[in-house]
Amino acid sequence: MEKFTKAFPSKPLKSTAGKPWALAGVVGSGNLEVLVERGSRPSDAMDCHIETSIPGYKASWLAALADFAHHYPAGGT
Amino acid sequence: MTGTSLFHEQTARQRIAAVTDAGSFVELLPPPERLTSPYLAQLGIPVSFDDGIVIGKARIGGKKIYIAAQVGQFVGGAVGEIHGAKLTGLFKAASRDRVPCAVIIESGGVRLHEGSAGEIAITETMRAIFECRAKKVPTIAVIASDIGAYGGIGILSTCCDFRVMTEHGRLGISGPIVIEKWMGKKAYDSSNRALVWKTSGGKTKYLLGDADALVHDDAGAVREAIGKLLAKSSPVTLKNAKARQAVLAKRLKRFGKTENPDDVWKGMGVRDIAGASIASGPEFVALAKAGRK
Amino acid sequence: MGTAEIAVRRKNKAQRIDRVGRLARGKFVSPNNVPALLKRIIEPGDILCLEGDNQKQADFLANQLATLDKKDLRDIHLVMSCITLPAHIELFKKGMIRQVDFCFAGPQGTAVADLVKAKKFPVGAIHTYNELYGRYYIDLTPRVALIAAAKADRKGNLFLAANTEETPAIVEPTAFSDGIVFAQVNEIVDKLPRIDIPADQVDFVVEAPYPMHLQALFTRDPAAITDVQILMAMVALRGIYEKYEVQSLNHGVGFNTAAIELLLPTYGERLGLKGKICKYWMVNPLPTMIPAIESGWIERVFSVGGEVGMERYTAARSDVFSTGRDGSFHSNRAMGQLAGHYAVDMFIGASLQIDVNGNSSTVSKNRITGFGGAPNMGCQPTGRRHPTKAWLKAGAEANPGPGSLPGRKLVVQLVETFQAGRVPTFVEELDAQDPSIKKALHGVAPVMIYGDDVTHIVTEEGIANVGACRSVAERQAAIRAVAGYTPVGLKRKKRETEELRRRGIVQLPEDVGVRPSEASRSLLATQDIKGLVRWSKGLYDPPAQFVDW
Repeated sequence: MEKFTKAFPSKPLKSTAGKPWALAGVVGSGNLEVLVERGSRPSDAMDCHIETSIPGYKASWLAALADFAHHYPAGGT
Repeated sequence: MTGTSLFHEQTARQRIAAVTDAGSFVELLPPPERLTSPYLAQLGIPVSFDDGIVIGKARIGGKKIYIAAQVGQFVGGAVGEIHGAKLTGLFKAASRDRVPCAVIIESGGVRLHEGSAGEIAITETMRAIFECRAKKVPTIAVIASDIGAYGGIGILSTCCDFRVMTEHGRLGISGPIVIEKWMGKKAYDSSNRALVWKTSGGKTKYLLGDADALVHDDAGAVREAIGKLLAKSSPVTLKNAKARQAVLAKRLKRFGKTENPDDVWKGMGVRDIAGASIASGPEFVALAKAGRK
Repeated sequence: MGTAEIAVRRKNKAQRIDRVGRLARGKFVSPNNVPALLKRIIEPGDILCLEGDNQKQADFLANQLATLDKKDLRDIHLVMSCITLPAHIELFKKGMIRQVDFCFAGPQGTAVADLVKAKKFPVGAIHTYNELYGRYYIDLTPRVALIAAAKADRKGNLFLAANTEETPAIVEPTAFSDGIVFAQVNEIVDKLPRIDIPADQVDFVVEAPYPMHLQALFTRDPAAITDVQILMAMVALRGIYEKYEVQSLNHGVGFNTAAIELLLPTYGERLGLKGKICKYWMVNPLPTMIPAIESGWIERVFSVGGEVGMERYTAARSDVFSTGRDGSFHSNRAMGQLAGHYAVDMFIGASLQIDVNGNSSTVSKNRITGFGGAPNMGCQPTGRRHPTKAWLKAGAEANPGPGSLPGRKLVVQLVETFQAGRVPTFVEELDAQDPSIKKALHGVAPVMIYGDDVTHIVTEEGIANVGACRSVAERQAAIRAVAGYTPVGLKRKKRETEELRRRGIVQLPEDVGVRPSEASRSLLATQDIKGLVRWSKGLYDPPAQFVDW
């Protein structure tokens, strides 16, 4: 299993978002599970932990997450 | 005819939300608790935050209920130690609190990666189901997706008071491919989907009495069916186990040598085979009843 | 000085037929005499045509041919649309073929690649369908054609039923150049429902011991359509179909275009697009078209072939589909391809691999599949003269110079950024450019669709309007912008991408009014085959492999 961690700058999560956590997807062939939680992290960064059984795609993961963090306000998660 | 959200295509959490009263569901041991499988981790296989099963408490029509939904897309919905423990704990809570418990099933049975741990977990769940039934706490299995209820979970489903099925659901122990492997393609062609569903699918199970309700592939219909079953339960006794055995022996005697599933349908009173083959839910039930008159 | 001989071919044909002698009774041959008869009507060096498009195959005749060997049949120049059967591959393995000219090898793609590696596949060229049919009249005229028909009558007239496909395109050039036409039929009857090929054009007929091979190639189960394909379909509908008002089109068959077909009665209806788009189609009678037809979206569909299970539905919907006087379905590959080239405003389809310049191919070192009809549909018809809204709008965007047409056809590639098995769709250089492949094809890389002909590329990331790009560099940047997280996409430059987006050359889903979270299977007019049967009011008969009831 390949594991890595990185924080991406992102505009703060909207205060109107009510739930403490949200889940999307299912771990499976061609799919992934994403758990997003509000945290006590700095509110201008999205802190990511990635675990994957398929090595060699770190660059793609980091690029995709960086784009997501840039596009959507996810700071503080 | 517009697109509707079909129950068999919904996710586990969508299904729970759709069959329970709006906003009533509280998830127990949710993903943030990260109760993941230590065995899969050891094998370098990606884990799921909820180990493939969502459990919690909710209300249906105002009445309290414990409810679970398996995540069939995660390792085939197969049961591992954590998954099984969540299910066992849910039924134990149901028994303790005397609150009905329903499980939306989609599972091939024991998770092979976890071997004995999965087997033990399923047997512990079955014991908890029997405890519920001894106290007359209703236990309901909903089998409504293509993955179906197989292996140990197939057995577990029949341990519940009731089974609600749709035409998509399948109930059995050995899967079609295994049956073909052992009995030969001539005896059972697993690639013949019509055959597979006519021998193990919801409509056939309903006809034979193994399923207590057959509903449309729709959350509202499933909810209604569960609602009707929340007040009844019976203990598992030697007497009713023997009675059940007798029913099955009779069935085997009657249909044991039948080659064509349509003949079983005819034997159970269905006259319009073509119509019944394409009908769903209540339409099928009506065609089945028409033959019995 | 000598006098030129006249009617050489006609005399030679008479000799061949004479040689057949008692092996046939008039035109009719019994199945066990077929191999012997084939030996007598085919001569070494002949151009031999075997019928088989990707659906219908003259498989009995092909199988009998494959029982012969090099001493009976050698030096053959094989011309055929599709290399699909093991029997076809057998001919190469036995060394009977001097040269092959074809279009498509889908089912035998791997076997063909193996033959190429073993230097047993002497290919002239890979063609698009109409190109090959055209050459049947010029320099690839068949001397002998082995074809498949549904029925023959006692005179030798032929009925082609729903799967007309390419039969007329093969028979005409052969019959009118003193060639020999030999047909296998499912059944010989007293009276045909209608005559599709007159007996004058047919030399021999055999009632095959088994029905001709016919595959349901274009049936796509709605249950297999994914949320990503629905997102792309919504983006295509808003960003292209709606924007350009596409009234006439051809869909390359696939799950992604099936998603578009199934969104018309729901999402398309919601957008108020009925009547404004998608009235006229060149496409096979796809089951996934049923909801749109039943909802009144579609005026006319012309097809290159049939589709197993759609016989009763197409006959009942004779206002939409092409049907004969007998009431049953009719198709024609050559004319359908012609219509798909000149008479429609848009081609949209998928590909396996696209390079940074927008060229695409389905050929790789281990699988040589060829093109089929894609190059014909997916190219700019510079011979076109009639204007439509879509043609003029796309043309204006391309900034035509003083020597260019004012209009352009919409040629759209609809692809996910990754294929199955994490293989990127987008590459710096096509596998088709591999030197060993080029060498086998006389120096010409088998590019299916050229980047200069493409107007749009749609991925799950958005739309690249490559037709509006002003330079090669700009087009490359636009492609990288929608190439997602493939190695090609990762090389995009943020500032360039933002500039292209500002100019509208690159559009994200939100730029065309689509929210990814809206993309859901519940938008489809139906989610399964059973639903298609219901929409068709029981007229659609899905093949067994699609039935689970």
